[in-house]
Amino acid sequence: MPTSRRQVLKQILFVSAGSALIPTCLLLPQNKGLQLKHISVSADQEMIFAALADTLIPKTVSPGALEVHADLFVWKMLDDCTPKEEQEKFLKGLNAFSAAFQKQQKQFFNNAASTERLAFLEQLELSKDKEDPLVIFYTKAKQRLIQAYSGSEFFMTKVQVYEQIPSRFHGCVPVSNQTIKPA
Amino acid sequence: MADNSSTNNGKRSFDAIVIGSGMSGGWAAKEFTEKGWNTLVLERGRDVQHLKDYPTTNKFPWEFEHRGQMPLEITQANPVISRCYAFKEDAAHFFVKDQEHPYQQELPFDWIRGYQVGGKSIMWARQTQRWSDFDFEGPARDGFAVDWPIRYKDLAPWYSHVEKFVGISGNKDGLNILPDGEFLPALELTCVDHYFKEILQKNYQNRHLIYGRCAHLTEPTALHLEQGRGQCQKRNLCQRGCPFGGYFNSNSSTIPWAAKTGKMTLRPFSVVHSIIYDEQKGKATGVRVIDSHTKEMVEYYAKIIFVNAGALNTNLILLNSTSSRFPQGLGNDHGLLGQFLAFHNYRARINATHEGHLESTTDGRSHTSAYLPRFRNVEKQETDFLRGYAAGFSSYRSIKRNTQGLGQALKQHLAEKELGPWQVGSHMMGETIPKATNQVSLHSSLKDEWGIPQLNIRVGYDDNDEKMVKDYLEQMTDMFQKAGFTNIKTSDSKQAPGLDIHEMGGVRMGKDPKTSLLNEFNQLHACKNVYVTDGACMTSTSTQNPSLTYMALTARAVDHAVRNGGI
Repeated sequence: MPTSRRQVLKQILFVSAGSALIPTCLLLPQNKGLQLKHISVSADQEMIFAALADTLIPKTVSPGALEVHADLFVWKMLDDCTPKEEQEKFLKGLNAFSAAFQKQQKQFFNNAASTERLAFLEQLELSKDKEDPLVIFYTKAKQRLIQAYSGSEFFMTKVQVYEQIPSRFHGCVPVSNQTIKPA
Repeated sequence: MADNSSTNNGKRSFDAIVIGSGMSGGWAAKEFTEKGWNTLVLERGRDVQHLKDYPTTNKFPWEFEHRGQMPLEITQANPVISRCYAFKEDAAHFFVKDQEHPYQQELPFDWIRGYQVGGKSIMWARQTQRWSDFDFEGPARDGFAVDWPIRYKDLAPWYSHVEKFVGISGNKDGLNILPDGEFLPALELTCVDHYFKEILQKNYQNRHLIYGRCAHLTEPTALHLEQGRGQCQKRNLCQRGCPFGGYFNSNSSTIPWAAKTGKMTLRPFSVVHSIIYDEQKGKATGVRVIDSHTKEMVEYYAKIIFVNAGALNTNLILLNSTSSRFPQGLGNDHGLLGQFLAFHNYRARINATHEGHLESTTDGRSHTSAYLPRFRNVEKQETDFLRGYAAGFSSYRSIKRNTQGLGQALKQHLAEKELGPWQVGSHMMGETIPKATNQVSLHSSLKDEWGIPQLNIRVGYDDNDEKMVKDYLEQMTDMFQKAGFTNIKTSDSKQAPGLDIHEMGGVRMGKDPKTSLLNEFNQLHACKNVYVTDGACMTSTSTQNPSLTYMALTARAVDHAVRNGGI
């Protein structure tokens, strides 16, 4: 039947387009739904935020935000440790972010190519309008994701190593040349 | 009946009963059992055994569900304990939640408690400064409270006794305001600490920045190794309990030491209701204990009773120990019990930036900071307020985190570690003046879960405290300016009394039974076989972190009790 064939085709196109353009989407929890206690987050919101995390801190030779579950940690902190008003502001901001992208690019943020996603975030990075709710959301989301990423086991054992047992304290040593490890 | 110890009540009779297993109770237990006395140690909370019961001690930061932060559900349900700096995911299990033991705040008071074996000694900040005669002579010189019945020379040998066992890291600074003790090596001060120290020396007569003496084993002695404790590894995660026994708490030190003698019976889940007074004998014969689970009341008997329940709970127990001889509470013939409470004023802070010393930084972690002993009104009265304050001082290199950019560039930036300028900060530790109006009493009708009256707490700041906050901020600003520190920011948290966790008094020591509760050996004037050697005994507070003094007073009092054969 033509109708159903069209539907099947559409689905195939959607899936192949998705996997071709944004392979990291395969990492996204499809309809898994988050187990949150105080806020409800839709699968769409979850996927868009994951795509934002992936764009900001992508997987390269080293793990990115999604590999260390930074996005999930942000949701957890938002759910358990964030006042209600701030939770609502964050979710509203995410919706506005999604809508703005869709309006500009005629597609969902999480379905867009990484170049398109990056270009959109660049605009927000460069925006001088600090009162713009979109910029406020973006800044907050970035801050939360960086906190999550840099608090991850990966980051604290491989990038900037946290010493649990220093066994020493020197009050005055020369600043040594900082070794920069590749991320 | 009560004294028929050897026949009917074998298991319930002891030579000594110690109420509480925290900082001072642990010391009473150690000293009594070492001297061969059968000692019952009563603890209202659960047992916490060294190593075994430190569930978070080896956890890495990323292993905490919220990276240390407490969930809102908990902080909103527990506003008081949530204001405590150490009530975080790694140590929250050692603190009493607001509803677990309610009390009545006639004025705002944050009562911070730890109900378990070891009490608050598990989570304490480990600072240990001796008192001097400038402190003991304060009330007499300045005309407040009553004269202390002891002087530095009475306590000095006991400070030494305690310090050797506890292990105190410090320098011999030769300051008469803060006598030297038995010290293990100190850690280093930072370059900026040294710089600030020199600025103070150059500009002032009596402002000496020193390394804060603290209860850490920088180089354990044979006596520490014998306790099963080892060298401090500079983790600075002490509030979780230390897997090395690197800092002092009752759990790693005094309690197992007492247990090893075979003379200690430790009974957790034992809420003390009251002390039993025998009218005929004219002394106390034991205590009434409520099992915190079954709510059953059991009596225990002994020759000597040490009350080390923690300052306010010690007041509560004595107030609740009524008899026809003492209708207002044990030893309370004059109604002074529960009055003249005081605390430390920790309200003011100052922070700034130091632009210099950019070629230097610190390496590893320090478990203490620099300390500025009291310099106000030391030799004589010189300000429009009484007494003074000590100050903590810390300096560290800030870390600049570059969060610019996106994608690969952002990742690269996050991996870079760039040092910012030195940050410096200080907080005040002010003496408060004990007053009759700063007091606790029993609520007439409200009871706790164990049927014991709830405590009314009425403790507030006064004009002297306000003036002191102002002076601290002015003086520190002046010192910071002389050091050329920039971006100076001052703050007054206005935090409620109690959050300093240095509440003291209510059962004060003094020479005269008419104006005090305890004599020079911490015995109740009116009931000599009951001793109080925790914070409740303090006649005045001075500025030093008080635990070391409680421990020294306790060891001295046990020595007195034992030498007198149980009174």
